[in-house]
Amino acid sequence: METFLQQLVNGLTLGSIYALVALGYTMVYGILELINFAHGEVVMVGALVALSVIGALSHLGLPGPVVLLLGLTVAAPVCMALGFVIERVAYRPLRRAPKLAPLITAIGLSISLQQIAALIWGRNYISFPAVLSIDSYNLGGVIITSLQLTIMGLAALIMAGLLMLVQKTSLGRAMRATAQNPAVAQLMGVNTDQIISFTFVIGSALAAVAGVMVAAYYSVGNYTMGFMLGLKAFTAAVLGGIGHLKGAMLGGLLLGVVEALAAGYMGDFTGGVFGSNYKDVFAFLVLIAVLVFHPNGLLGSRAREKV
Amino acid sequence: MSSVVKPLLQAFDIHKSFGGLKALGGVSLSLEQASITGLIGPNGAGKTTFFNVLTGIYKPDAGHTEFRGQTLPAGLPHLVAARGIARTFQNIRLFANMTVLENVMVGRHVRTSAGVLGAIFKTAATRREEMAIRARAHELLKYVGIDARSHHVAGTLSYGDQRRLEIARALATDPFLLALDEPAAGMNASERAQLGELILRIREDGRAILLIEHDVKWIMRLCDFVTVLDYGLCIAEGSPLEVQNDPRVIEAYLGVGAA
Repeated sequence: METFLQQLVNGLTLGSIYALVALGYTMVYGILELINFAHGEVVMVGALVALSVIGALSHLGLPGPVVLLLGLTVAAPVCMALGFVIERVAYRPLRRAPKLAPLITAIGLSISLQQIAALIWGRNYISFPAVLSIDSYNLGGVIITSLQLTIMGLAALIMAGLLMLVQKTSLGRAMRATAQNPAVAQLMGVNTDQIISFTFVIGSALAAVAGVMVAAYYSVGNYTMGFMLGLKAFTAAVLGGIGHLKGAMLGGLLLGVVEALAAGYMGDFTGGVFGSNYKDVFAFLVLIAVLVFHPNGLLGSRAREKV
Repeated sequence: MSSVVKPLLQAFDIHKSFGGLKALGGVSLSLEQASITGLIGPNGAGKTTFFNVLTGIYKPDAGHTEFRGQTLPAGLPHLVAARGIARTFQNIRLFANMTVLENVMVGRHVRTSAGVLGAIFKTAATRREEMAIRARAHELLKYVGIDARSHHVAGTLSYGDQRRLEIARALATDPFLLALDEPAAGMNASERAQLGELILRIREDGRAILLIEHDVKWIMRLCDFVTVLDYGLCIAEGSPLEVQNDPRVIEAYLGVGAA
């Protein structure tokens, strides 16, 4: 039971991060029906920018949370600008092209961004400077850290804010209208190009937050870190029903929990043949299962609401 | 001194081809302020293509349109909407998963000033504007007679009510010209009569209406002016009576020799 609860806490933390990244995939898909495979790389850039800033500030003796916040303050605009440029340069010229073209472009972009990051930050792992003093709380044998609480709390806050934005504001209405029928939305005076740019920028801001969280949580980052994270977040988005905001949130949390539980019990169940390092397999088993049994995802129906 | 009222809209020599198919071969027409103009013609005459050019969905190959004394931006629907032209579609195109009220509220978008920051930080001005949008949307739903359904999902409305909602959404953009593409399609006689009343009321509010319709009897009763398209050309225009007796129109509809 203790293992279960412990892994649940770990899984929800990881799942919060997946959910933030999955939202970026799902929002773009909702509006453009495009899988932005470069999104994981935006997370990576966010993490590495933040690591650089935090590294530079770590000797000044500022309080840990302040340093972390400063890292995010730099990383978020960088990622937002990157997301904006990605859409303008790589996807907008292909808006009317066959669907395969932007998909291939996305993969090419993902590889390019990785290599550019390798040139800037090198190929080695960059460790997270020890600026944070993390408190641990023992709740009946289950250990939860202040960092985990911060990650979950911040992610929940951001997700609630995003739902408010999309459901309750005129901007959100314009986003939903664009997702459902861009041609008609334009006739209502919605500048759909602007809405699409805005969607990429918001998704990238969430990616920056997720990037900083991952760097802080695993205390390490490098130029390939966006690849696996991106794939898993994509899996989470598909699991929840791609194009569906709440689906991405649910899918992210669920995937995080499944993975953590797999890591916790894998050794016991297989008599030590497979260890927790096989946990990644579970994310993709989940993806295959969803695609086979419920291709629209958990919250996706045939007449699903996109975005 | 003659006091000539300038037409609301003048289209000059609009051309549009799709590959080898010439959909519009130089259409010129003008619309009067607060008038109802019927656009008729056989299938494939270019009526809907003309609507699409007018509202900026298509960019014309040649020609331009003046609206309220200014040239309309070609191929930029959101700017055309801002100038004051709104439309409905032959095949209803609502935001089917949104509520009835939200559909009309989207229509207000063009008259909304709150930007991205206002939406995110919910300033007092944004909140006031949002309330005004909501109030106006309810007003318009009452105007077309479906306010009781404001919280239903748009896709669940009856066919006739969906047509009304589409008109309410178009009116939400505060248009000077409302372009209706076959608004009476699929309606029975009494629904048609009600729609006719609604259209007359919209004209009384000072808006002009351009109407594509196949029911010639209905359109002759309703319209102040009628323009006839055939093979992408404007073959007749005038009062319903003039057009009805024009030999070219009879020929287009019934074939050579019928006149």
